[in-house]
Amino acid sequence: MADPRPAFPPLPAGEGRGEGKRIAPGSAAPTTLVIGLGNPILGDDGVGWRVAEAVSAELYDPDVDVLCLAVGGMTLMERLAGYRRALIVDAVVSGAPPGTVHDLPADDMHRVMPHHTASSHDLSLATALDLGRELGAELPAEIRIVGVEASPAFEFGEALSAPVADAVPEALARVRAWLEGDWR
Amino acid sequence: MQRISIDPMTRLEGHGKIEIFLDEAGDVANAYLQVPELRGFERFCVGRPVEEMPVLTNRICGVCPEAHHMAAAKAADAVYGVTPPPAGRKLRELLYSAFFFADHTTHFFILGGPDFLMGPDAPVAQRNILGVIHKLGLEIGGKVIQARKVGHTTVEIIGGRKVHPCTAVPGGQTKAISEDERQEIEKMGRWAVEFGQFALRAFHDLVLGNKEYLDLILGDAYTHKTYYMGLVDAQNKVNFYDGRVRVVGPDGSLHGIYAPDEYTDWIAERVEPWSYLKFPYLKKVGWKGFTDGAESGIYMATPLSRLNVSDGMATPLAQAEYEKFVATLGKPAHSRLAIHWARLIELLYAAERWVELAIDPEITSPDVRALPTNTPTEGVGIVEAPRGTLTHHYRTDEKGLLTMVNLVVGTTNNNAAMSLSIGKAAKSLIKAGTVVTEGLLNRIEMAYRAYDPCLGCATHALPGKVPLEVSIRDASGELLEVLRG
Repeated sequence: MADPRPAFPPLPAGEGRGEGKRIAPGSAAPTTLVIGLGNPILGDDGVGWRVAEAVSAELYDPDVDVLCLAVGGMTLMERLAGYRRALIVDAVVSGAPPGTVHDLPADDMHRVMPHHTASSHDLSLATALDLGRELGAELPAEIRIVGVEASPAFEFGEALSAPVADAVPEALARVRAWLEGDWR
Repeated sequence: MQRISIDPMTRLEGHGKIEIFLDEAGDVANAYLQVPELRGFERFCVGRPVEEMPVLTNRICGVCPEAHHMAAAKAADAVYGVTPPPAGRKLRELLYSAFFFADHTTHFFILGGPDFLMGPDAPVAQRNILGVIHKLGLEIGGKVIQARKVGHTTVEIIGGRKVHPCTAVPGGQTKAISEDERQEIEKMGRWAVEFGQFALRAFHDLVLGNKEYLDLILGDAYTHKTYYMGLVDAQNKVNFYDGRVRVVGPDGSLHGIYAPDEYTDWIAERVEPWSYLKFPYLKKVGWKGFTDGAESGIYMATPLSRLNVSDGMATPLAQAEYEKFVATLGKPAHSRLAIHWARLIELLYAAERWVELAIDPEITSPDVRALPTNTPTEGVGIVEAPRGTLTHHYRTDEKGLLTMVNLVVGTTNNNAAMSLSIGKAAKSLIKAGTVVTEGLLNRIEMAYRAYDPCLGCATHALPGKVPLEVSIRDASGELLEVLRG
């Protein structure tokens, strides 16, 4: 334990990665990861989990892990290590009508991240990914984010608002298309 | 390809904003940081079985779910009037020590520490772990990642899951650990002790050995003389998992010591018309406005507070560091920047305690739970979260369904104290209506960052970080200027 390196990947691929629940059984070393991100008891913030659960319900592919997570920058980066490509489904608030489905590559993230932060306890995912790469982590070459526009007021509750619930099939279709792109 | 620009936005109303109010002369009158309010959480819980609380409450927050898990389990123990058997209690404390270790590591090396390691005037983009790596070498980054890994892995072995553990239930734990698991945990704990010593060496060499930083810690700029709060064991040593809450005054004299179920006799909450936030204060001292001193009921609950209220640390290496700390700063220490130093001493204590518990002969006992048999009623559970005393208070009907839930979370304790610190930082750059915007965000950030406030909902890919937004208002409340970073 005295030698701190190599610290990555934090876990052998496919082993015990499921923090929330590992809802799709993967093979020993799946290369593709789908993450539903958010807080499942904070109303529309739970939309990422709902989409990931829907992915899991229709998918059986030993090469794909599907996880539901409620973690931020550093921990999220650590979870991504070891996969070749990853897609994150998350709630976003950008001012678009609730239910709008956004699709963006993660290399765009630095542009939309603030530097100063009111949260003292974590890095942004963009900075965390830079850190991981600097330290030699095997991070996915491709990270995409499917964002579902949430209603701006988050309240505790397990239900999605109607426009966000209606957007789940569209978000699911985006994930499916992304997964199928790899199969072709 | 479709490209959509998403502006950094807050996810909860009022989340991540600082408001600065000026007086008639244009000087700083008040300042505060808005942290997210758990609106609706208590209502969300009412009607649910109390035994769900350890897994429900750890969804409040993405930063310290382990703390909510433990406070909830302890409150549920109290609701059922059940005491976990020794192995159950020790497993909880072992998990909690590993969590504290990883959490304190994350704060010091990734965000709080870089203020020192890089210097307060370094560009903001470099005041993070990447800047530290560029300055001190890759090895430090690898150690930080490894420290998080050993902490999270220990939480997972005992708690069933990483980050959001699920094994603490009323009366104890749902599962024991095997001898193989114990050995793995011990090995990781011994590495953690070495890391804790390394972290303190780095702090001594790079921060205390640098006159400029030492002056910053010893100086007045980030100093407030307030009351302090923290859990202590029967020997008045710092304890994260259990004990009584001890409160001392600005001169270090004892204000009081209370058991968890007495908290409402000691703590009251102030509501200000200009904020939906609550400001807890010491009931027996009273609310005297945003001011420090023995007459003001404002208190602080942080690593520094815990060192101030205790007679030291219960493990030998951390105790030796505690003695150096007191010799340098006196006791109680009032400088808010000393919270960083106190945090590292606690980090070492957490690692030592981790090993102590891992080699405890009882730790692998299969007897980890006492089944609750009493009719559930009411209970309070208190633990120290890394960022302050955390209180959960539940009341149930005779079936164990919740009828009342009240939480006083770690960061909330410090709302008033953080407001003082932000105000003081702002005063140095805002005088007679003239705002020096250069450096204002940096200094304000350093002021509240020391407290490690938990704005726990910032656990997302986008925006990923909550942007800092500072609004400056004149005496009539009119908005003069907004700074964003």
